[in-house]
Amino acid sequence: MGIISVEHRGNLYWLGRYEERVYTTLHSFFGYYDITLDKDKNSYRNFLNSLEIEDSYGDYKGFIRGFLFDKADGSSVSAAFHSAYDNAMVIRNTIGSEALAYIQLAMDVFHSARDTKNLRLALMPVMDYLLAFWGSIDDKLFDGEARTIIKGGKLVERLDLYFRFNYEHKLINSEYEKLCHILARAPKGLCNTQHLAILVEVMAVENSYKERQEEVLDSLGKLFEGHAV
Amino acid sequence: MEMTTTAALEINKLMTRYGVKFGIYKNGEFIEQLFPYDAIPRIISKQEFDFLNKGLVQRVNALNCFLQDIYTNGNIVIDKVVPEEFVYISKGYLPECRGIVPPGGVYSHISGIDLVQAKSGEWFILEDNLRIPSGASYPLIARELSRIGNPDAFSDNDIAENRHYSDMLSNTMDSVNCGGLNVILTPGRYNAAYFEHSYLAERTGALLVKASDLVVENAVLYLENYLGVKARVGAVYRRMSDEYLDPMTFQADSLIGVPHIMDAYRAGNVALINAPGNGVADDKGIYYFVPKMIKYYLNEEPILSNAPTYLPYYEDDLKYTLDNIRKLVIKDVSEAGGYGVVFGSDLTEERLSDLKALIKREPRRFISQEVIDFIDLDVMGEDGSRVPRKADLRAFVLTGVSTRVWPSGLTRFSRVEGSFVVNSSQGGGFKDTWVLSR
Repeated sequence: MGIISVEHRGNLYWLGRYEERVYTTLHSFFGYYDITLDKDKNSYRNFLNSLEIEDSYGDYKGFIRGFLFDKADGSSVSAAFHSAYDNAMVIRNTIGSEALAYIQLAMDVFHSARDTKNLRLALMPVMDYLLAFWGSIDDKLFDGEARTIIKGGKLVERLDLYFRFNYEHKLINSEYEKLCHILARAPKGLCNTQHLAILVEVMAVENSYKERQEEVLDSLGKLFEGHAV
Repeated sequence: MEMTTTAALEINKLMTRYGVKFGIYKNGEFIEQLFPYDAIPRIISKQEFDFLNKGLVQRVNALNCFLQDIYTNGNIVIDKVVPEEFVYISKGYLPECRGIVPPGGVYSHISGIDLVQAKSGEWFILEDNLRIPSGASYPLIARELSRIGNPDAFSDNDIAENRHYSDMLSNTMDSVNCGGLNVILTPGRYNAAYFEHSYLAERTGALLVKASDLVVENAVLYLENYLGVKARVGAVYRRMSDEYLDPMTFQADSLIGVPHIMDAYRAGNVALINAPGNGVADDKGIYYFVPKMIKYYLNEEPILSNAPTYLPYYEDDLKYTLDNIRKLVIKDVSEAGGYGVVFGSDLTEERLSDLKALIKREPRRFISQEVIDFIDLDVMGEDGSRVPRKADLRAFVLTGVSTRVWPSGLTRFSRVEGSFVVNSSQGGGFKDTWVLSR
């Protein structure tokens, strides 16, 4: 067993969550962005509804400016990016300078996209760098316990967002299976597996999560409870 | 050495990519910024380095002897080589460390010795940093990235390898380790040198820890994991000041220290790198006495010279300082980081007069030095032109089983034309330091 302190564990877990929050939020955002091009300028409101965020942005332009790039807005992608970076930089010695550099590169491209006319194109390298980050984690993070924690955080966040965005059962199930695989290999005491029961129940019946979303999200959040940073 | 603007830009892009930063506090706010890097290296010939190497090893060995003496018998004071006013009432002297001989008898494991080269070519020691000297990580990563950004420079020149600093540091930790893990203790994310803490942890394989991760039981230091399992710690490369290290021994309101870590240290169960209490030996006042220490402890002539220095504590030096203040640089011995340094030539008559009065009132608080017109090094301007800027050199000397000088160093330069202030906290930049291998 590695020597991973309480705080270090929290940093690993929340790095996984924030990185994934940026990635999946942007991924989902691109779908709504496409709709706004020629179909519905207000589709961003559905996006906000899914995330239970009040529309304080006024209009679509305000939404882009605020939700994506306003670091002071705690719900923004920018804020999630900074939180990911803050957690990553304190564990450089675990994840490695290369993985940290991918976050830095992704952030730099993200911020420079703010004034571009072709937002989607400008943000594509952000997704590339985030995937490279995970590639680096898979390839270079030799401490299995640390890898389990960071990937646990990633999958918890991904499932959380997939549930919120009502992704299809097949997709959710595939991520759920990955999470189970991770938990099966986790050292004893790493996860509060009793909170898995609701998830197991819900996933057994297709689409039942739509009625029980609140319970499911609550359970997911508690899987690694007590180590928030 | 040719350095194209393109290569310099590439290297700086890599520095951004790898987050080579340092933090400063401005108006109470922590700001993290890239450490300005100039890709034109400082070059030191092999012959010159061999000379510096001997002088630096000699100096650090004498300083280690001094620390052991001061915290045990105090012979150098008894023999009146160093006046006791410069030792026992120094802010850096810690009575709590009296009688403690650290593992291996080493006090200053990592010494940062600041030097300048005068226009005559002669090197002078400006300052000894024996507490927690920082900066080695910057030329270390700069070398790694320069080899990517400007590979031809390394094929075309015979440059001594500097990337083994992490091995030197690991060996130093191992040599004094009392059994257990090597850890780097950081005050946290908002420390100016946090990049260095995390980068050195990555490179050495030591664990980067905060005080909250550590616990002392029965005078043994442990690192506790998230399940409460404890692993013994044998060496702590601590990157926080003495006063914050242990709230039970030093500053009681320190929230970043480890309660009772001094008990483990006193019992010989853990090595603290560097040893607490080293401040007594790198005080600007004690600097004056280092050549005397070399003679006293090693019975050798000093190889490297101090900058000509006067101690107003002595009547003759006080008179000289007051009579010549306009051409001298005056340093407040209690300040660091380039603060508390004033050039007599920069002061108005009124301020000179105030300063003279202060020196007369508190002579122990100041030293005065002749201004060394140290050399300018070329720095690349934004348009690719070369401009001369003042630069110093921080050499890193590591002591474990033996004392070794890292064949590189942190060259800091002023970004303001004509200015002698090179400190990063005051806007200075840095260069890699190439030691030629033949």
